[in-house]
Amino acid sequence: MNAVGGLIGASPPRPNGRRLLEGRARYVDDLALPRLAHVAFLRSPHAHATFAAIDTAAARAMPGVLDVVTGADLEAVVKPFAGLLDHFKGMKAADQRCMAVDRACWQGEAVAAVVAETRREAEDAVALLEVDWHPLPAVASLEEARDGTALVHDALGDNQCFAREVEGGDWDRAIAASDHVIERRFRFPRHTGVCPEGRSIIGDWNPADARLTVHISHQAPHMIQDCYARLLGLEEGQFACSAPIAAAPTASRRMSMAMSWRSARFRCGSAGR
Amino acid sequence: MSDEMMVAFTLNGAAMRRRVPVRLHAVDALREVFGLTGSHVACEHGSCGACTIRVDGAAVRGCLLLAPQLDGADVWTIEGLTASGAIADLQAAFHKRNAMQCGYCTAGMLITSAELLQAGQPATRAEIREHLSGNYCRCTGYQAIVDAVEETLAARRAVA
Repeated sequence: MNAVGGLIGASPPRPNGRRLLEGRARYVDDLALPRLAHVAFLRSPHAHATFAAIDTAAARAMPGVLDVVTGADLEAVVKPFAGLLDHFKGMKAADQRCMAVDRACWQGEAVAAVVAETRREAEDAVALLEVDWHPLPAVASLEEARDGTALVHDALGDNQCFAREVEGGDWDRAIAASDHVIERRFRFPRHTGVCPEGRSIIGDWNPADARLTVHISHQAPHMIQDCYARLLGLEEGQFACSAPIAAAPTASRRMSMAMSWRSARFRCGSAGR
Repeated sequence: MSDEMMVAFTLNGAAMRRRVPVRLHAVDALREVFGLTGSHVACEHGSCGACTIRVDGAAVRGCLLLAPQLDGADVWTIEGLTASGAIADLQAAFHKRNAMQCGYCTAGMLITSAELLQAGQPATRAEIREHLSGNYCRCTGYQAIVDAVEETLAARRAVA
């Protein structure tokens, strides 16, 4: 026993456990805001392709559809970003947009979004968007990436994002002194996070207060606040980020209404976000 | 064909009658039409068990049923099972052993476990695991969940 009431070494039940056990926890997709619209994305079926104008007429004519937004439309309200980490010296990445403009460089990259009254209406309308694709050579393996005959981003000059060498000991002496030297080729599968709660986000731009509220299933709400404020040209004070338990904000700002996106599991392998 | 259909069923012990889109999955109807967000939507194709609900006494996938198929059924969700006290001992055992982390799979775990408990038969740990094998927990909490079900089963059989 100890001075803090014997908690050290004890296994007390979690104080917030009951709500998880009684169906009372609140996840992002459980929120239903007034005037909440729903977003669905058209994604590139190609790993690398350019595309010309997107025909949105049929989608716009579908019941419940409020707007159809392309990457070019969003350029006016959100800046591009590069996914870099300061502590990885020499790391390089091309500028990325919320949705592709003219060229998609990974299978699943969003190229257009439909905003509708329900998720189902948004999905239906996405199926009617028509894109004139021109597939380009894709980089689909580590070997192809290293050889560099095709480049994901011409501006970067090669396909290498980052290199770090870790050295220690005397390799040549260790090999020379070994009784057996075995060489093998190892292949590692791609890893990805597949949590039961699909990725989800609600962006709620309130033009009257000039304030954006984002509800997101995320573990770093302050980072989200910083990034979104910079990309959308807002002050951090204009932005509140709530992570109830754990791209809609941009469209929300354009349309001045709350907007929700929840990933469909069947796309998780390709969407990547 | 109409896009909507009237469904009448018993939901958590109360008679319900509502017009629902025919294309709606049962779990989407429970969440969106009836406001019962305790049942969760994850894989949307019957693999993970997060959407498990009780229909006519059996634990079933809410994402593999269409809303009109609830017509005439006796349907229970985590909200109703909690309010009725029917699984209070199981919930207490989960709580004591912290058999949940993010909680997203928990309602499904409880309803599938309750189906095993309802059968009233003895079950080994291997059999408990087999019964729960259609419910995924990605926080990897199976050990504590099996412990909690085993403990509740033993306690119920001791009373019976």
